[in-house]
Parts: sequence; structure tokens; C-alpha cells
Amino acid sequence: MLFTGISLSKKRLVVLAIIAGLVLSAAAFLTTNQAHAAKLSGELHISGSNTVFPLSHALAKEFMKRNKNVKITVTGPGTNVGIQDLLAGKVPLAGASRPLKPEEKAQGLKAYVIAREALVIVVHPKNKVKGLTMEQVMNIYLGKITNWKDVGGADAPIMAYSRPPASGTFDYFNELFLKKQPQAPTVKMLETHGLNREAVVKNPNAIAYLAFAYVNKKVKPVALNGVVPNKKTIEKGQYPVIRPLFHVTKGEPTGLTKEFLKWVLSPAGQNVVKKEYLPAKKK
Amino acid sequence: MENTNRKSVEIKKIRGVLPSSEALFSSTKSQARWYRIQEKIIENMLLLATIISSTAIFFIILFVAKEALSSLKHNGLAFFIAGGWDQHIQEAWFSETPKWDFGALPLILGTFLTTGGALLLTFVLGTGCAIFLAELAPDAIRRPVEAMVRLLAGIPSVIFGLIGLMVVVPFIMDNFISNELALKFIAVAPLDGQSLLAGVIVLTFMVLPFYVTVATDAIRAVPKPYKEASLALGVTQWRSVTKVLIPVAIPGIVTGMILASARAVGEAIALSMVSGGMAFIPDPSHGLVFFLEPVRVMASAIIDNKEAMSVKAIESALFGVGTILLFISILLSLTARLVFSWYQKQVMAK
Amino acid sequence: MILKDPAKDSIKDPFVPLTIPGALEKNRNGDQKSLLGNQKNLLKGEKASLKNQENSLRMEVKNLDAWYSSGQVLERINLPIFENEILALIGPSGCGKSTFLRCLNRLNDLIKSFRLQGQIKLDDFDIYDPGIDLAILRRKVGMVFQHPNPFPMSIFDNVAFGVREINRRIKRTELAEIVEESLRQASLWDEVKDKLNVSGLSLSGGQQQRLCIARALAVRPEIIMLDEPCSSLDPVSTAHIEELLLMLRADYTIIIVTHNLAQARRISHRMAFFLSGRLIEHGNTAEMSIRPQCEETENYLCGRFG
Repeated sequence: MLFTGISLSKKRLVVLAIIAGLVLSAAAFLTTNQAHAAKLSGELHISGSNTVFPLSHALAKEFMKRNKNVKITVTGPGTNVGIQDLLAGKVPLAGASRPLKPEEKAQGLKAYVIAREALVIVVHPKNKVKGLTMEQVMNIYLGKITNWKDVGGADAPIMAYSRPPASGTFDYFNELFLKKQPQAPTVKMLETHGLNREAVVKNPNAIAYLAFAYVNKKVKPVALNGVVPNKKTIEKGQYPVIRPLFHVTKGEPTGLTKEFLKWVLSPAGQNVVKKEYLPAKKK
Repeated sequence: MENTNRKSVEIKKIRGVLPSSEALFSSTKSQARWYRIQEKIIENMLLLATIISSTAIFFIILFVAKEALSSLKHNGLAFFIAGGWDQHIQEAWFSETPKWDFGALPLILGTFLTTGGALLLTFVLGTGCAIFLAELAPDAIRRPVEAMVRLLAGIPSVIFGLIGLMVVVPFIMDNFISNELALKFIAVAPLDGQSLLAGVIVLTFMVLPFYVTVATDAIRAVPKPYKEASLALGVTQWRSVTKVLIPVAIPGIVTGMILASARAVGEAIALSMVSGGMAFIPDPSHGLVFFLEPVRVMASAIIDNKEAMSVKAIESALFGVGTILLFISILLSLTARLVFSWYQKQVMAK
Repeated sequence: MILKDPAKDSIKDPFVPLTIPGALEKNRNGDQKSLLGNQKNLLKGEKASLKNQENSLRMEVKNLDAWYSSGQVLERINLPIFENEILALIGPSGCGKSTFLRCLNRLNDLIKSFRLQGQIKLDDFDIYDPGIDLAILRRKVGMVFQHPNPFPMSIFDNVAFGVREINRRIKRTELAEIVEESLRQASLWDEVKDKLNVSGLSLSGGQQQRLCIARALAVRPEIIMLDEPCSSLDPVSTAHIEELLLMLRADYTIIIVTHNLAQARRISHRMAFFLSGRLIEHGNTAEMSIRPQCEETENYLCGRFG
């Protein structure tokens, strides 16, 4: 009798657990249903550019504050991953830090400029070099200049960091600075802006290019062609390297995606953009 | 008398749980059939699970190999013995016409160098640690150390990568790389601390807990009489451990090494963060600078270049690297089996 | 007959260089004997020692108390052990015989909770003195365990193991000689001479136990302790080992723990009867069998308990 007693009580426990589970999930179902009574609701996932990621994130946060029942998740694996996700139908919206290629457009992708931003060259704060020309930057990344001495710095090696070739930022950098020449094999390619910044923080001889939003006090942006990158010079358009940032959809956006995009381009959305970036439209 | 009385009461208590012997015959045929069906169902479910998991592995191999085929076909042997991976990726990405040339030698060598180095360090440190834990450590030390080792095994590899990047890499840069050295080598490779050495160190700490856990258990599982017999012959504690306990524990130790190497070969994220981000082949003719030069391992290459997968040639080449990784892991598990059966034949056979 | 043994002196000084076992053997027997001659001598020695009960004192246990974490396991043990005798430790299981045995070569040191009080002397040296070299003590006091425990190595390596550890640069031929001699002494040679490279674990239980005896003999101990060596063996193997012990006793002091009273009567000179951690009685085997001094001994010997 002893053993049957034990197994019975075990069974009871299991049944009890199942019932409890059902009740709880029913309760959860009801509450979420109630919450859905509000105007805008649903989930939205944004993938895409590592450069656009902080902006998308800030926009999503503000949008969720205004629409309590909307949940937006943002990831930033890279422009090309985002575009692949978009084409595969995994996400309805992706950030991009480069314009669409013709073949991408042919597949029905549509890009919307949501902001503009500067690409800045950063060095270690201890580095004496204050400014570089775009040509010097090119020669550094082509491996033709390898000593800081040659650009007005100390007698030390220049260690150049870059992004992987398939990143949108590299595309842009490659086109604008390198004129599509392959960068030197001694340039290290690091996955994200964050890793590039860390490399410069840790290495007094480093140079890297960052989206302006990633610049902090631990790295020093250098003047490019004589213009120091800061909010003022960037806003006025004096800084030479300013590029558009995009949100990309497949076909015409619908539902929540449409509402979100509409809000991003509205004055309210652009106010969020202005905190760190340039608004989509030039003044 | 009293004693026997109590015993019989206990027996009755236990017997009470069992139905009487007549029950052997009273259970109906349908019940018996139901039990048989139950057994069959369970048997078949287990079989199904086995089939699903083994075919899954088969299809994974097939899928990866199929994707890799076009690149392997185009490159042939060169895929394994030629260098220039990073350049090839750039060319394939920017070229208007598809470019299929790829050489994964730097990745293969990078993987073998980091894994080999880490295994060597792991064996030296880990075996010592395992002997200490299994044989010498008093409980007051053993318990916290074992808990720590287990904790170490649970830390995700990104954390190892971060710590490596924040601690190991700057340490190497500050202590081993002078400005002059970096200047001298700048045209070869940037020496910034992200290096083979950093990769080996970080990888060692990642695989060490697995090895230590398995090896400690293996040493502990050696029957006590072996050690006693050795000690009773007048052999010192230390010699008894190295000459009797370790040889007996070899299958466990080898298993631990293979487990560690399987983990090491497949590690991507942490190594991508600390070992250099360049498909570079360290040059032994540079002397000790060899260890300060960057490497990129196969698993990292897949992660680092995943954004470029939309280009067919790159995708296929990455799957080619995946195929190599897959075969290495298959090879590792086969070696494990071989070593084990060899050992059984050698020592345990009747 | 008091032997002059360099190894004996080395107990005093743990840093004395290790002598190779071959040399040790030479010294012990005074000259080099052929194996056959040695065996003949063994038989002679057997008779002699049977007659002569006043052998010299080899070990002496004085007021020995011992504890495990579970409590006291040995209480006030006083027992002399003489040269060239077979001493049987008898008593019901759990009475402390094995613990006592493991005190004599300090194998109990392995157990963290083990504690000991009193004195155990080997040739006037306290073996629990902190200056004692455990390796040398255990070479002098060899041990064979209850369950055969050959190492998972070849038969040859099993026997050679201890010797190699003592002298790592020993010549292969010399080592082979020692191995053969030890296996012969353990009457195992004829059975294994053609398969010395086979794993020791491939032998039968009785053969394994004799291999363990050969392994213990190979390092040339002076005292051999056997902890119920036949408990897991069949009668034929048991008879084999008893025969072997009778042959060895001229050359060695043998202490055997046994459950088997008949075995104790067959092979021992003296018996020591343990009960619940106390040594009840010890004395000449024949006398003790006929006229035990204590009632408990009588009860045990008559099979009333145990």
C-alpha cells in the first residue's frame, strides 16, 4: 500500500500542476487580450546595419513609450545580414548604412532615408596627430603610410582597424576613402563599431573609422581635411564625410511597420534623430 | 526471541506491499497484453529517437558538404594549402564577376596552432590540477576549487572573449611588444596584443574546466587498491600517482583531452575577439614573435565573414571551412573510440 | 640469528642511498645462492624454526590505541612479532585485525580521520617517528591485500614495478632475474613464463594473488603481511598459497590475517585473537588451540560465534 500511495500522490501532483498551468496561461491570455484594446499594438523586429542600430534602438524606445502595447526589438548584425533577413521574410524592417544595390532594388526592396550621419576617423587620445587628409587616410589603409611620424605624429607604427568587407560602413568607407582599392592585408577587420572603438582605446597606435554616434571620450576624432568633426560642423555640413542612413522594407510597408516608419519621418521622430544624428532632410 | 519477532513483523510489512502469489494468475490477459503493447511503444519510441538523431547528423554533413562542393571543386587542393583568405573575401565581395578563388590554409593552421597550444597548456595545467584535486587537496581547499572549476565551465564564451580583450590582450601588448618591435613588424602584421598567444591563453581557460572535471573523475575512479598496492611496495605518493594512477586513468584523461579539443576547435567568438582578426600565418622564422602574430581560426572565419554570405562564392567557401571543421570533429570522436578500444585491448583484455 | 642489514640502518637516516634489491638479497643471505639451493635452505629453515620458538624479536607493538572518525577501533594492543615466524591474526570480522595490520606499514596514514596512540617498533625504531622514511618502512614491511590487485600492466611489469622504482637505472638482465626469481618464489613462474607480456589482469584469481605475492617479494621485504589473502580464492588456489607461505617462512617474517581457523592452525606458529578492537589472547598456535586461556577465545575457536 505504501508504494501505491506514493505513486497516487505523484499523479495528483502532476494533475495539479497541469491545472495550475492552464489557469495561469488562461489568465495571461485574458490580460494580454485586454491590453490589446489600445490603438496600436503588436511586435516589430528590426534587423540590419550595425551603424543604424543605436538610432533604431533610440527610435524604438521612444515609439514604445508613446505606444505602450507595441514591442520593438532591434538587432544590428550588419547591413547585409539585415537585407538577407528582409528578403527571407524574417523581418519587416532593416537598417542600412549604404544605398541599395540595383539588384536589391530589383527584388522589391525600398529604402527610406531616416537620418544622415558623419563617419569619423578616430585615434587614441594620447596621439599627437590632430588632423589628416582623406588622401593620408587612404594611404594608411592601403599600407603606404605605416609610421605616425609620416603624418606628424610620434615614431610609432600605425595600426589600422577596419570593418569586415561586407559591412555597409566598409562599403561606404571603401568607396569614399579608398576609391575601391583593396585595403592592405595588414589592416585588421573587426566585427563591430564597438570592437573598433575598444581597439583604439586599448592601443595608442591605433586608427579606426567610426559612426559619429559611437564616438566617446576615450577616443579622439581627428580633423578631416582640416574640419574637426563635432555637432556643429556636421550639422552645418562642413564635415566632408556625411552619409545617409536608411530603413529598408520589402515592398510597401504595412501595419505596424508603416506606422513606425511614418512616425520616424514625422517631426516627432526626427526630433529623436536630431539628438545624435542629422535629420533626414538637409535644411 | 524478541528479536526474531520483530524481524517477522518487518517482513510482513514489506510483503504487504506485494499482492499474494495468486495474483500472478488473476491478472487478466488483456492487462498482460496492454503491458506488452506499452513496452513495444516505448521500444519503438526510443528507436525512432535514435533514427531521427542519427539521420539528422547525416543530413547536416550532407547539407554542409553539398554547399561546399562548388568551392572545393573550383579550388581543389589549393583550398587547403593556399593562403590569402582575407584578400579573397574582399575580391569576391567587390568583384563584378564571381570570383571563386579561396585558400583556407591560414584558417586551418590558425585552428591547429591555437588548439594545439591550448591543449598543451591544458594538459600540463589541467593534469596537475586534477591530481591535486583528486589526490592531495584537503576538503577545505578541494570543495571551493571544484566549485570554481565547474563555474568556469558554465561561463559563456563571449565573456571569455571580453575578459581576454580587456585583460590578456593589453597585458601582452604592454609586456611583450615594444614600440620598436611593432614598428619593425608593421609591414608584416600589426602586433597589438591580439595574437596567437592571447588566443591560446583564452582558449586554455575555456577548455581547462572540461578537462579538469573529466580527468579528476578519471583519477578518482581508479580503484583504491592500485594506489595502496603501490604505496605498500614502498613507492612514494607522487610516484604512485604518476606511475599507477595516471596510467590507469588514461582513458578518462584522453577522453578529457578529446572533449577539450572538440570544444577548442569549434570555438569562434572568443577567438575572433582576442586572436587577431586577420587570416595571417605566423612565421616561425620570426622567433618568439611567432606567438605575438595574429591568427584567425576556421570557426571565427565563418562568424567574421557571415555578412558576406550573400555572395555565392563566399558562401560556398565558408561552407568549405565548415566541412573541414565537421570532419575534424568526426575524426576526433573516432580517435576517441580508437584510443579507448586500443587501451582496452592493451591493458584490460583477458 | 640476528641479521646485519644495511637497509635496517637506513631507517635511521632517510637520505641513505637506496641499495638495489639484488645487493640487499646478497647481504641478507650472506652469500649468493642459486635459486634451488635457496629453496632447499627454505625447507631446512622451516624445520629449524618450527623447533626453535625463541626467535629474536622483530617488531613490537606497545599500548596501541587507534581511532577512526567512527570511534575507537583498537584498544591497548600489546603484541610481539618474532623473526621468521608465521603469525596468524584471527577473530570475527570487524574486530580490528586489518586495521592493526595497516598500522604496521602505516597504510592507515591514507585515511584522514585516522588517529593512533602507542608505539610500534621495528628493530627498536619507532615507525611512527616523524623522521621515518615511509618508503623504506614499506619496503621492509611488504603487504598483500585481501582481493588480488595486480596493476593493469603486463605480468613482467607488475613484478618489476617496485624494483624499477627503487633503482631506476637497473639493468634489464638484472631486472629479468629478479622478476623470474620472485615469480618462482611465488610458484607462478611455470604458469606464466611464456606470457610475461600479457596483462596481469588476464590471470585467474589464484594466479593474480600469487602475482601480487611475487610483486611484494620482488622488492625483498623482511616482513610480509597478508590481509586475508585467500578469502576470494577457490580451495585449490588457497592450498597453493598456503604451500607457498610455508616455503617462504624460513626467509621472511609473515603476518597473516585470516578468517579461516583451519588455515591458521595449518600454517601458523603463533596466533593472536582479536575481538572488538582488543587483543584477547596470543600464543603458540598448538597450545592456544588446545588450551585457550580466555573464555572468548575458546568460544570462538569452538565456533560458538564469529
